[in-house]
Amino acid sequence: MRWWIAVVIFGVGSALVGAQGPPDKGHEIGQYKLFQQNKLLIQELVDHTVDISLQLDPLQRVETSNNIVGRLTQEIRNAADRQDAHRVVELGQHLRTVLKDGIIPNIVTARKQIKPGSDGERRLFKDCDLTLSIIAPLDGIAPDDASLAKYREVRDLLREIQGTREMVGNAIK
Amino acid sequence: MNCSQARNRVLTVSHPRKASEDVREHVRACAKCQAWVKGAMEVESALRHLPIPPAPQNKKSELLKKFRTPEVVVPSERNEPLPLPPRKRETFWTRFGVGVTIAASVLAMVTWMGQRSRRPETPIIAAQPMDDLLANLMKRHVTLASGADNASKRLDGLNQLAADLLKEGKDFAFIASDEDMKALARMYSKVVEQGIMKQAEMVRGPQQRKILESVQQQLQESGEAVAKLAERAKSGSIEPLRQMAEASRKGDQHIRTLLREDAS
Repeated sequence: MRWWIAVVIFGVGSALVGAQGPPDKGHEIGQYKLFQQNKLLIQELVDHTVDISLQLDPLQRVETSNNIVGRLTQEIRNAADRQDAHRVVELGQHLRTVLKDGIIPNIVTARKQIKPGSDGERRLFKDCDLTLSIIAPLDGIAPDDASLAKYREVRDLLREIQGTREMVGNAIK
Repeated sequence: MNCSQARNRVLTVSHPRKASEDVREHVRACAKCQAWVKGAMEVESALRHLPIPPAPQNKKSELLKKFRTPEVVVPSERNEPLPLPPRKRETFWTRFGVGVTIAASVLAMVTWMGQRSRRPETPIIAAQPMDDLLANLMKRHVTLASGADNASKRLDGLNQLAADLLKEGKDFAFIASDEDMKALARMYSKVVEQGIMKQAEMVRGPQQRKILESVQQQLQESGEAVAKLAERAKSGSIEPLRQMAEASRKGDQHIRTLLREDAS
């Protein structure tokens, strides 16, 4: 009986000591490596996020977010050239989020505010065309014969981005 | 032998006289059984006198005619198999159906297994860590791009953005290069000085004081924590951490001023 009590006390004590130990340095090092990889993207993202927080015009916000879309698209293409499926998927998910939850709501708001035939409408069409043209090169990153196309996640993601492009097109109608 | 046994034995023979000796002995000795046998014999004799109903006219000749007509033997003359009785026929079709179903199932399974063996396995992308900072910053960007419809929400979004960067600055203080620490400090300072301080000036409404106090409190605590960390960080991280502490102090002072103005 005493033997069991000793084992339990030792186990609980070990858990407490472990919980108070130094943080997981491995995780921090891993995150730092990713920071180094994404540093330019992060700097651009911070700059544009500060800018967008001061913008009240939905079209201006679309234009600011388009900068992020452009950077992400470029990074995804670079990752695709290196056949880095994990990075393609990670950045592709961010791109989808920016398009779906950042750009499209502002297009919808602008569409409601802008009068048909006005300069604002022409600017809106131009911004939407720009968004679509920025992400257009993603069509070619995973042709059927490419090794990236063998990953279901990549195929699913590209399909989702394609769907988001259609949503951008529908938002200005 | 009891009465019941004796009476049952009597019923098995054509006449009570033909019953066995022990049965007859019981009947002779038992008045009740004698009366029962007498009654039974009376019923027997009365049955013979019951009228027999006449047969339907020509029924006999019709039956004979049916047996003699060639139609009755037509199936055998045509050399065709005699139809199975309905019950047997039903069993045949049921068995046929079960057999076809089983055969179809086996065929489908063999086809599916064949296709499966030919189809290449879809590879799965090896699990790797995601960039937590990038994911958080994307979240803040999207919130500030479309979800923050007033200054208070925008201030809150910027405050979270600053907190994300400050956390990375603290986590990387002992492992990052000097350049990377400087980059983090620049980003943090920009968020505080060009984001939070400007947005704080636009915060209006009944909730203003509460939100400003909350952000000011966080900036004060962040500044103190980073300044403390700078005292023991590696040499290349000291200056960037001090820069972060200074930005926090500036933000803290600016919001204190706004709160004082609001109070006066």
